[in-house]
Formats: sequence, C-alpha cells, structure tokens
Amino acid sequence: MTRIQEMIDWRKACLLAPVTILLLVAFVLPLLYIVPEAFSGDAFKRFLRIFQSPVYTKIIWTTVRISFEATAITLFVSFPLAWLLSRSKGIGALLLGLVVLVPFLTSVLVRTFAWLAILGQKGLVNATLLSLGLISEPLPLLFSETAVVLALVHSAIPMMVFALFSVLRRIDGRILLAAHTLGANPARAWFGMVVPLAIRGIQSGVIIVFLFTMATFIAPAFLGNQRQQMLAQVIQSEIETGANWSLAAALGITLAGVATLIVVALSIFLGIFSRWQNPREATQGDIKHIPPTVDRSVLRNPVKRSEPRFNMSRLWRVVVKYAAPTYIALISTFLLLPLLVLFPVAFSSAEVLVFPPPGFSLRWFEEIVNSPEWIEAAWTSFQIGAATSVLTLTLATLTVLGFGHKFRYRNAAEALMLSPMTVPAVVFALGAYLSFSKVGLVDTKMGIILAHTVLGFPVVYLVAAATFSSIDPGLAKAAASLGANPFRAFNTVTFPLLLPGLSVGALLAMLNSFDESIASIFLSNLSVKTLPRKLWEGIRFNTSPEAAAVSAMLLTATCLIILLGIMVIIKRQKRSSPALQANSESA
Amino acid sequence: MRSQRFKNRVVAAILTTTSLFAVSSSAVKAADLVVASYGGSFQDGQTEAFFEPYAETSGVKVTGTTGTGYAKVKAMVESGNVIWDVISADGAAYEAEVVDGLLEPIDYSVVQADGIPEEFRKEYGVAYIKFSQNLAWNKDEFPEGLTPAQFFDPEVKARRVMLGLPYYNLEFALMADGVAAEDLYPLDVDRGLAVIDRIKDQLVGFKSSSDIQAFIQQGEVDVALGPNGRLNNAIEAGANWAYGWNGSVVALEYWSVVKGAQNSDEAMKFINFAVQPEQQAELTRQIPYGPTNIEALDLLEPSLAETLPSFPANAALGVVIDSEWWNENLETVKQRWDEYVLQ
Repeated sequence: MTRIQEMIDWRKACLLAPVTILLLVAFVLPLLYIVPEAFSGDAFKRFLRIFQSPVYTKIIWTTVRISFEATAITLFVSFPLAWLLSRSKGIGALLLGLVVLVPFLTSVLVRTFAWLAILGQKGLVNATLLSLGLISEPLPLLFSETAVVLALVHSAIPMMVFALFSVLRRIDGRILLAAHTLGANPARAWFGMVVPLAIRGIQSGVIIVFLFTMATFIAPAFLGNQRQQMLAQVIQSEIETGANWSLAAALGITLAGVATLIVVALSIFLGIFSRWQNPREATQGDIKHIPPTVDRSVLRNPVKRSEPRFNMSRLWRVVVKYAAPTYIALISTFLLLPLLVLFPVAFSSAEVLVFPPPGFSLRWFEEIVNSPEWIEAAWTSFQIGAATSVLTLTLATLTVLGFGHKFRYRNAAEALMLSPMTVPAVVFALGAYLSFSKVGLVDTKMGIILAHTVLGFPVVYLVAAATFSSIDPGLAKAAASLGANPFRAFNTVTFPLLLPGLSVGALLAMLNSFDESIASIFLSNLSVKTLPRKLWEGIRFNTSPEAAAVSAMLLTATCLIILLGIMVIIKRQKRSSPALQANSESA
Repeated sequence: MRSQRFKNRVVAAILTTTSLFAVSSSAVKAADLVVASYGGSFQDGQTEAFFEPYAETSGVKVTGTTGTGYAKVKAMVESGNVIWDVISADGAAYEAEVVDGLLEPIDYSVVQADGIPEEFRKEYGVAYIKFSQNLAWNKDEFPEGLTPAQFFDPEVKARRVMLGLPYYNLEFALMADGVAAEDLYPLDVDRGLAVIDRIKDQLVGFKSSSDIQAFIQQGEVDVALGPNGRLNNAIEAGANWAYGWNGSVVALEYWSVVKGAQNSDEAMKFINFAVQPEQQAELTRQIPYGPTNIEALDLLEPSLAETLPSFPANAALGVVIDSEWWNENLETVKQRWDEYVLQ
C-alpha cells in the first residue's frame, strides 16, 4: 500500500515538475530578483526618497485614487451587464458575450490608441459636438484624468463582467420573484438578495480590476498629463530611459506592497459585508425571532399590502422594459465604439488623426504591407504566440493530470499556479527584465515566450481544469480495468475528452501572447520586436493613421480567431455525443 | 476513430509550429550597425539621408532605433550590454557622456571632413547639425504672433507643450523673463523653474520632440516650444502655424560611438559617410537643421538658408547654449528637473 502510494506521488510529481520549474525560474526568481536590486547600495535613502518626497507620495496617492475611481465605476457599470448576460440565452447571449469578449481580446494598446481618435481636439466627440453646435471651442478631453479613467474602465469592464458572470449565473432567478412575493421592493430585493449572493464575484472582480489598474502604464502614458502620473508609468520610464534600475525596483516593490495591502483590506471589507460568504446553520434565536413579525403583518393587512405592490410592479415593469435595452445600447456603444472608430481612421487620407477623415485612401495599409518592419513584427508575434500556445498547453495538460481528481494540497497548489494573475503585470515585467538581462534573455524570443507562458498559464489552466473536472474519473478506471496502461488510457480516453477545453485554452494563450503589451514592451528591443512593441513605438513617435491601420488589422485578426474558435466549438458540439457536449459547454 | 484523427491533426499542428519556430529563430541575424536617434520626422530624414544610402553603398544593414539619451547610454555601458553602435547626441548629453567616459574616441583617420570647422570635430564626437528650439503658435488662435513673455503669461490662455528636458527650456524661460542673452550663464535654475511654473497647469505635458510635431498637426496644442525642424515639417504637412526666432536656443547635435560598441569600425565609417557635404545637404532638405559642413551650405537652395538657425538674422535673435556650463551642471539640474516634472 505504501509503495503504491509512493509510486503515485512520484508520478504526480513528474507531471507537476515542468510547471513548477517554469514558475520558479520564470516567475518566482524574477520577482525575487527585484528585492536585491531595490535594496542594493543605499537602500534606506532610496526608500526614504520615495516615501518622504512629496513627489513620490503624490504619485502613489494618484495611482491609488485613479485605481479606486476606475474600479468603482467599472463595478457599477458592469453589474447590470453581467446580470443580463447571465440571464440571456441563445443568440442574445452570444451577441452580448461577443460585445464583452471582443474588447477583452483586443490589445490594450489598440484600445488606448482609439481613445486618442475619440477624445482629441479633432477627435470624434469634439467633431460631433462642434457640428451639432453644442460647443464653439473643442473641449480639452485628452491628457486629463477623465481620459485615463475612461480608458481604464473600458479595459476593465470585460474582466469585471467575467468575474461577476461566473457567480451570477448560478443565482436562481426565482429568488427575485420570491422576494417580490414576500413584499420586498426592487431595491431591497437587489441589494438584499442578489448583491450579497454575488459578493464572491464582486470580490474577485474588484480585486482583478484593481490590480490591473494599479499596474497599468499605457493609458496614463498616452492619455494622461504629468499632473496625474501613475507608479507603473514612472517604473516603465525609468527602465525605458535606463536611468535608475534600483529606483525602478524600489518603486516596483512599493507598487506591489501598496497593491497587496489594499487587496487584503478590500477582501476583509467585502467579507464582513457578506452574510452569504460563509453560510451557516440558522441559530435558534434567528428562527424564534423572525416568524412572528412576518405572520402578524400578513394577517393584519392583506388587502392594503397588495395595492401598492401592484402599482409598484407596474411602474417597475415599465422602467425595466425601457431600462434594459437602453442600458445595453449604451454599454455596447461604449465597449465597441473605440474599436469601430479605428476603421474610418485607418482608411483616412490625412497625415494625422482627424475625425471625420477628410477623405479615404488605402495608403496606410499599403505602407504597412510594404514595410518589412511591420511584417517582421507580425511574424515575430505569430511565432511567439504559437510557441507560447504550445508550451502553455502542454504544461496545463500535465498540471491538470498531475492534480488528478483527488489531490490533497489542491487548494494551496492551485493558488500557487494562479499566482501570476495576482501580481501586477508591470512588477512581473520589471522582475523579468532585471533577471533576464543577467542571462542574456532580454530582447530574445525565448525571453518573451517564457514571460508570456507564465502570464498565459493561469487562464489555460483554469479552462483545462474546468474541463477535466467534468470528465468522469470512472472512464479512465474502466480503461485501466480493460487492460490499458496509463498512457494508453490518457491517449484514448482522457485526452480526447480534454481536447475541447484545451483548444479553447490554446486559442486564449495565442491571443493573449499576440496582444500582450506590458512584458513585450519591457523585454523586447532591437532584434526582437513584437507587434505590440512596434505599435507602442509607432504611437509614441508618430500618432499617424498608420497605427490605426495596424490596430484595425489586429482587431480584424482577433475577431477572426474568435469566430474560428466559436465555429470550432459549435461544430464539435453538433458532431459529438451528449457527453462531449456537456464538456465543451463547460469549457 | 474520430478523436484519433483529431488528435493526429493536433499533434501535426504542434509539430509544424514548433519546427517553424525553430527554423525562423535560427534565421534571425543581429543587425550589422545600430544607430540610435529620436524617431519621428527627424529620424525619417536621417533614414533618407544617411541610413538607406549608407546601406546601399556599403552593403551593411543599418538599423535605426530610438531612445538616445544620456541615462540610457550610461545604463548600457555600465551593464556591459551595448547594443547601439552610433548615437545622435545633443550637446548637453554629449558633454555628460564624455565626462562619464561612455564614448569611443572618434577615429579621425577614418572620419575625414575638412568642411567641418575644427571646433566641431571633438575628441568623442562630430557635430553634424546646428538646430534651435523655437516658439511656435497656431495662426488661427494667434494671428498677431506670440512673444516668449506671452508664452509664460498665465493670462494668455492656450494649450501649451514643451520638451521634457531641462536645457533649452530653462534658457528660454529666463530670457522670456527678461534675462539678457549674455547674462544667462550661470543659469538661475530656481528662477527658471518658477517662470515655467506660471503656466505649468496649462501645459499638455513635457513631451518628446516627435510628440510636439504630432500634437501641432493634430491640433492638440495652440502653442509649442520645440525644435525648428519639426516645427517646419509640421507646417509643411499642412498645419496653419508659424514660428519665430525670438529667444531661440541654438545647440549642436553630435555623432558619437558608444564605448564597447560591437561594430565600432563600421560605426566610424558610417559617421564619415554621414558628415560628407552631399549627405548633410540631403538631411537639411528633409528637415531644416543647419549642416555643420560648410561645403554642404553651397549645395543648398538659397531659400532654404533663411530657415536655418545659422542664418544671421535668425542667429541674432537667439542664444547659443553653453555646453561647458551644462557639462558641469547637468547631473544636478537634471535631478531637480525630473522631480519638478513629476510634481
């Protein structure tokens, strides 16, 4: 017995070894590398400089403030969307899902660039307002905190919606009806029932969005002004100008520290406010206390109660009838408009970003197609994406098998596997830059592939794990009892069942790598230029419609890949047995 | 059966992508000569006048990149990971790089340009253009033009932009505040920053020179303080703008070779090529920065001469930057400037 146990553990260890090594070498080590860099030389003076000088404390405060603003707005705006998405079915669900998914899978750089075309002095908003005669002078929209927050909210909505959606769809819609029947007004039903039930989704959404906004430097760099610089932006520019690595590392630690503190505080805060967080048996006191009050009121005024309820529900119905479509129209416009604006701008005949374009031409596309640099960047990105996708997929499969259906330390191990999601991307990119530069991995494809694999692994793992958990472990056992060795059992039973989940995961890893900008900007330079890196330089040095044309092409490619993915899933669903159908749905 | 086929396809796809990747990664070759400059229309002009013709005549691949600056060069040399060969360095950056020993001495047996005055052929760099920072304004907003004093007058409401550098800006601010050109140095940094502070909240930002040109063309700003060549090119591209020479700050731009550059021999040959009269004249046609090679001036169309900082009527209104003063003070002033910008 003990020997068998040992053997199983050993096999599991083998399966888990590759991902452990990857995370140690390419994730933990880079993060640890920041520490000696930050504390090298006169560390005391450095941190004193950060925390005492009004310059840096102001930047820290600005970063936290903007992150909070963006997170709060995102939560407020996304909740109805996630709710509607969780209640919709069929084609409606697909369309609504695409509205969220397409921006999510589009490069942050592309989205940020679109805001330049919308908010500029000659951008969409000002051009529209001017032509309507509502204003006589263009409004100063760009280079302001509003622009930064707007772009951040736009980027964060999909993340928040996904976090909320996974929880909201498990809520039984009839509880609203029940609350209504028991006399709760809509506000009470929502804030008393739905919100507390969704608190876990809210918690994870808020944390994901907060970490994202804390770590962003692209939006403030392009859309903000020097009055509201954010920490990540200062770190990035310290690395870009090569000025002071130690200061960048110290700022990185400060960013990670502040983010962690706030995330912990947020978790505790939201935990307190959720009675549903840890369901417990009702105590005697609760049961004794509640029934008499309810009973009495119902018995005393049965007629009076029904009247206002009727009016209320009618009014409510009218509001609901128009509120939901209006809201969907508004939020869809907000989510998709920036992407749609890119197309007219990309075909512009003007030298610069002007809306509406004075004329249309294909010159920017011609320029891109004839530019060896853009072609090379696209090819590089494709190679890196393909390699990342293969690597991530292999690791995720091994990890899922390693964990198996029963694994004693699953929760702890899973938290470790998902940790790349919880570290601000700019801090990881900084660590990767500092450590990779010591071994000559900066500005190599290998370095970027490693970083992208680390960043993409959690997503692919989550998809693969969800698929795996829906596979009946009995199937593999049946195969084994029929004489199949473990490899054969995996090959003929488990792997085919895992495939739908894995292909979705591979697609996500590919897209993630293709559009990833933060690590790419840090880790690539001269000899290796990914598309996002080239786009970053393009926007930095030349805000011409060329960048819009590249963005439009990237966006089209992304949409095609998403469509392809959806088609593959639908096709497999149609062809496969009901058992497989369940799997691909869960994927 | 079906799953077997599907699996085979997946395996085949994986193999193809990995082999594709392996093949192409071995095919990637390091650039033969890397030249770091500033991006935008200036670098476009350099590509046209220097990089492409040099690659054509010598067969050496020239890769132009951006981000040249004292801090970056210092980090590169100190980390031992020198990926740039030739840099374009403004006077202040050049002086600071010389002080820190970040540059290779110019090999004057290779670099031969008699048309360049002796004082421009320095030990670690060859000055190849003379440019200036000028005040420019949108003619729709300011048909009467704008004085440097008005630029720093908070009552004159306008969206402004300046370079993210301490030099030029401090000189310009002090002169606008009434300091005579001959009394400028040593610079009164406190006073200069105080002058800039008057209009800091009306600044779109402290940006790069390519940003300044882009903002002018997009109509993002009404007033700008920027390099004369970029201003000129923005106007040529259709912006209804004008610029003046009052209070302009003239400086030199150098070619230098980074210490420990992988292709320093090739770098010297490139610099030699780039400082010849024909190439210098070609750059000026692309962007009106003044050539240092006096033989290049003879090749230029006379109308172009009036747009150059060295044209006597232009030079009389401005001041030439004191690179010696910056040589001694850049480090301290830069730190103060950086903190000021972040405030």
